[in-house]
Amino acid sequence: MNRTALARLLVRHPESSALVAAAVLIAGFSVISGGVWLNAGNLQSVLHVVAVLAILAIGESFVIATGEIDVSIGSTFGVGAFLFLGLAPVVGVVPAVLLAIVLGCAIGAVNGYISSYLGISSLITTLGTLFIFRGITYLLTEEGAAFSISLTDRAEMAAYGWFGSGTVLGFQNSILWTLALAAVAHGVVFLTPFGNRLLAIGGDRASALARGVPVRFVRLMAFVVSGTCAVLAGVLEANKTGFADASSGRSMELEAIATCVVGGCLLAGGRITIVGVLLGALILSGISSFLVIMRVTPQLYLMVLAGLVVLALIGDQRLRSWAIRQR
Amino acid sequence: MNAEALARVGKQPHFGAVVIALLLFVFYSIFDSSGFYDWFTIDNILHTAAILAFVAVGQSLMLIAREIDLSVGSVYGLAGIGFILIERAVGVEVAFVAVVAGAAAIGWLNAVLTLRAHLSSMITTLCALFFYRGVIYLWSGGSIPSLARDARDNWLVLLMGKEWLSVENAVVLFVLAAVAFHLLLSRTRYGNHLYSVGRDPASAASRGVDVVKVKTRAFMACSVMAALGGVMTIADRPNTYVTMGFQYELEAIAAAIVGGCALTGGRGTVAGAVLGSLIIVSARAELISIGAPPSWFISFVGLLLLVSVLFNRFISNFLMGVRRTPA
Repeated sequence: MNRTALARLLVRHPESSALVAAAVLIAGFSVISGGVWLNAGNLQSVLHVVAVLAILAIGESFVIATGEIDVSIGSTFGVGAFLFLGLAPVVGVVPAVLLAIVLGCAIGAVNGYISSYLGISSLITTLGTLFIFRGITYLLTEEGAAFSISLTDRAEMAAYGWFGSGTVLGFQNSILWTLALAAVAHGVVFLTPFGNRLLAIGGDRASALARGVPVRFVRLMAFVVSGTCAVLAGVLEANKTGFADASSGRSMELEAIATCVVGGCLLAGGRITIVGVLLGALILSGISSFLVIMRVTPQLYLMVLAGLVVLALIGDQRLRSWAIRQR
Repeated sequence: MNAEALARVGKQPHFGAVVIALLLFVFYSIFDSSGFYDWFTIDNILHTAAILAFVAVGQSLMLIAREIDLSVGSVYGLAGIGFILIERAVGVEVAFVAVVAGAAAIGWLNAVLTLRAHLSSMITTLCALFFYRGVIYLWSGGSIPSLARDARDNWLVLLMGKEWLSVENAVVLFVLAAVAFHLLLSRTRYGNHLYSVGRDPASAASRGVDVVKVKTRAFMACSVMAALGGVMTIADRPNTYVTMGFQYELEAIAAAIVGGCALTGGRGTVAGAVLGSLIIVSARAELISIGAPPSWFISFVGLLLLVSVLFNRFISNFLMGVRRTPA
């Protein structure tokens, strides 16, 4: 392959570097851990973590596409998990999931309304709601409300296994939900007018506005997608473990943002890739499980994550400017 | 007062904070259930607020320069814990100098990654937040010793941690620092450059302001102020945990924003940061004294952040006749 073709590939497919990184890391982890990383048991647990993180990050990528940021999703995740666990025994599993999704839409709509209609920076708005919902999860657990469903109760509930904990043809439901959601998200971003407008706003807000894009509304919808995905991820996680406490989802917003960055989304907006987000989630969860297998202190994961994000950003910048010079 | 004078008062960035502080003052006076006007309570509030204000003033410098530092919570914790650990080897004075120099180096590294590599400060300092939190765990191994007994009687520790004429020394030191920073921002060339860099970096650069240099100093000052806050906390309370400073960045940012800083840069005052810190800390004390569960505090900070931003926006729209920017 000559240099121009490589350059074109890099520009058209921002996820290509994440793909290479994921392949190298998986090969490296499997060899270094003596095959432990790659065995079926570990892959099962890694894939569930990948699934939950990927859903959060897909939602975040919609907001990042418009050049904004949503740091409230960690708390939204926790609230979603609580709502599911609290309501499922009362109203049934499917209605609980639907109610949780409605709540996610509502939280996203609040974030979106304040940041795009009232003109408050999205970082500040979502920092505020991050606090508010985290406090609510603390408050709920303080009053002694039970937010766990025992294994025997879970077996008795109709349709409980549909979300996260069951399997279909040997595949965990959580990963199937994630793949389905990723396919829909990919279609929405790259095949619909909405996706086009989303990317246009991130690329150049003023010119998007000049071309008649309803900027405020599209940004509001991006936050709604993000809130809904966060709640969905919380439901899948709560469904799998049957348990949630006040710290559920803490720092998840940071991991989701890191996932988007490592996957090849541009934080300034205008460029996202759903395939890249899936790969980014695989890379992050892979590193985390590798560190656990190697018995390294889990706190090292934070440092590795931080270093990786900075390297990914600088590398992406260098690679893109090289690729653009080749044309 | 005529309309012009009213507008001049309202134009001050910390006007909103003054109004909120007055409202809270009235509220405390009416619902004075457990002696808010007790000297013990006031002394306690002033002390906690002074330490928060150290961090918040540093954060204000960053926000004025249109940057943000999310790593101050980790730097605060690392400085406090590092002070204890280094002191055991080399004594108080050297440890103090080492901690301040280390913090300046951290700020410089944040600045280099942000300004030289052209990354957003939000993401570089987010990575720094992770990284230095990891450093704390690795360095201390998870359990933090107390500040050595003989060190507690050192003049420097006494200067930072004790009280004189029943006023905490930390409060006096903060007042001196606040006056110095107020003069720096309002009376010196550097202050002028900082505001101009935050308002419009391109035109500041065209007038010969060294944007990178001005911002680098703000990064370093912010980290050093956070570190001073950490050391003062240890000087007062020699026992701490590995989680020291966890989520403190959120309180510091909230204090700066409540005090009238805007993420769009070029706006903010030292007085605002002081008021913001006082508002947050006194509200926590009041919430606890009227019997609200402490978990609510974090929700309250979130709510206060959003309300004050919206309130500041309302004031600037209403008094200054600034029309809302489209989209």
